Amino acid sequence: MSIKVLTPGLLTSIQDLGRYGYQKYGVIVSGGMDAYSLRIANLLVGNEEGEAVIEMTLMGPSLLLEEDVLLAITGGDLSPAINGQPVPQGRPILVRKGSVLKFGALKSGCRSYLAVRGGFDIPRVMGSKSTYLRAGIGGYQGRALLQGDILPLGVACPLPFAEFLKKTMGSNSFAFPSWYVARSYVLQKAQEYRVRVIPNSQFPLFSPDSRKQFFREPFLVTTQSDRMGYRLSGISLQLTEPLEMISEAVALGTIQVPPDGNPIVLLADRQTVGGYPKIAQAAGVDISTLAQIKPGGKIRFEEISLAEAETLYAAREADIQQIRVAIQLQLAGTAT
Amino acid sequence: MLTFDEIKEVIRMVEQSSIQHFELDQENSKIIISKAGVDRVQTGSPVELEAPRVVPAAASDKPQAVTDISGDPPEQLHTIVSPTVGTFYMASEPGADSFVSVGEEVECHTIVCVLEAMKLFNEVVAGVKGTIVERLVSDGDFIEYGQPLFLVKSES
Repeated sequence: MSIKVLTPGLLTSIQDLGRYGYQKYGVIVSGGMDAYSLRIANLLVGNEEGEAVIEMTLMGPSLLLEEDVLLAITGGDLSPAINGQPVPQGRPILVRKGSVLKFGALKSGCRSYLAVRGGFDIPRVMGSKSTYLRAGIGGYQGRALLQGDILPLGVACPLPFAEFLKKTMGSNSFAFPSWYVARSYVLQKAQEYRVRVIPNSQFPLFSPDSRKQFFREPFLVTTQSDRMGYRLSGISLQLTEPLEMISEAVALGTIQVPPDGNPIVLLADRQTVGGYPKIAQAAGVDISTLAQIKPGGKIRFEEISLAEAETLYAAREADIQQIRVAIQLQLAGTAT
Repeated sequence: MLTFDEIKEVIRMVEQSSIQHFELDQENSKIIISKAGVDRVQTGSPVELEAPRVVPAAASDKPQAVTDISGDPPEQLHTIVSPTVGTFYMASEPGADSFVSVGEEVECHTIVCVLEAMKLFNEVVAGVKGTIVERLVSDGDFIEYGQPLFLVKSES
């Protein structure tokens, strides 16, 4: 039971929901950048939502499926195709042994997620299968996937639903149902993404102009953006007076401003502490949106309160619960 | 107040739709249009859109969406009915192109719409080869099981 990497793509790594509990030792959290898409991909194949998946970036891999596999692809659209035939996202897909799953042109978003039934049979390091790229910890040998890698699959009991798909497969190399889960982030034709933020405790230390412009002007996601954080460019954000800070904890979505005035949004591979003043904190509900903005994309920040952010977060979790139940009904074959 | 032309327009639209009963209450004017007991104008034959006979889809099966219209229509009109309950959407996601539009030719396996229930989107296929004659519901409508969605002039 394994998947062989024929070509690795630009940055393809194993990620789960992250390595929590070790930031006090300086070990970063890592994990999938778009946790929503990661969770949905797992739910679609009947896994625990935090199981390890393959995260691919901008240019996807080519994978040889060495067994019959139930898989699901979510997140950004990298034109997935099985044996040359396009396959849809957001659904469980049963694929015949010996098929090649190849990702092509990026159509939308930035990152795509591939979950397989049973997950990947790789060891947990400090409780997580996520790849910590800079430290070479976790995931598949602590690194991004390379050509020739063989990823062992975990064992899971067969789903009644997979049996049903197998019957509909006929002579095709794959089969999928007529239902799907919609994409997480909003498609924005204008190339400007709205990201809701909560002003940070250091927000008042920024100049009145900077505070206004932060919400008024769009910021460009520069090419110096990666899993650690997005470096933005736009108007230069300035403090009213210089500030000497002792490094303090930073969180997923913290927006810090180095002296050059260009903000940095900290993401999955963020450092554990930061010494730059923090202007705002991205709402948890919009982290997945951020994760799907590719370099060259534009962000416009919108101010919300902590209470609003919590309400949005709770609503998103309720949505995921509903999706989980709906998918479980489908996978158990009890729904019509 | 609605103008005479607006009233005419409303009557025309209701007449051409599958709506059987229509009420509009706006400021000081009220319009009630009821087509109960009246034959469908387009066909001119004693055809009434009765609750279509629904073939219950087998568990997790592809939706079985085709039923016949009762009576003896002069042209072969098929009704695509809803295989489930849910919210009707004409496109796969906001901003995307509609799956089909009136006047478009469809094959049996052409997806005509999606119905959303519990955040899952269920694709509905035409189930018949032909031309879409009319869309009977609007984007965002909540659809009941077995509710007619489209009329298709089938090629037989």
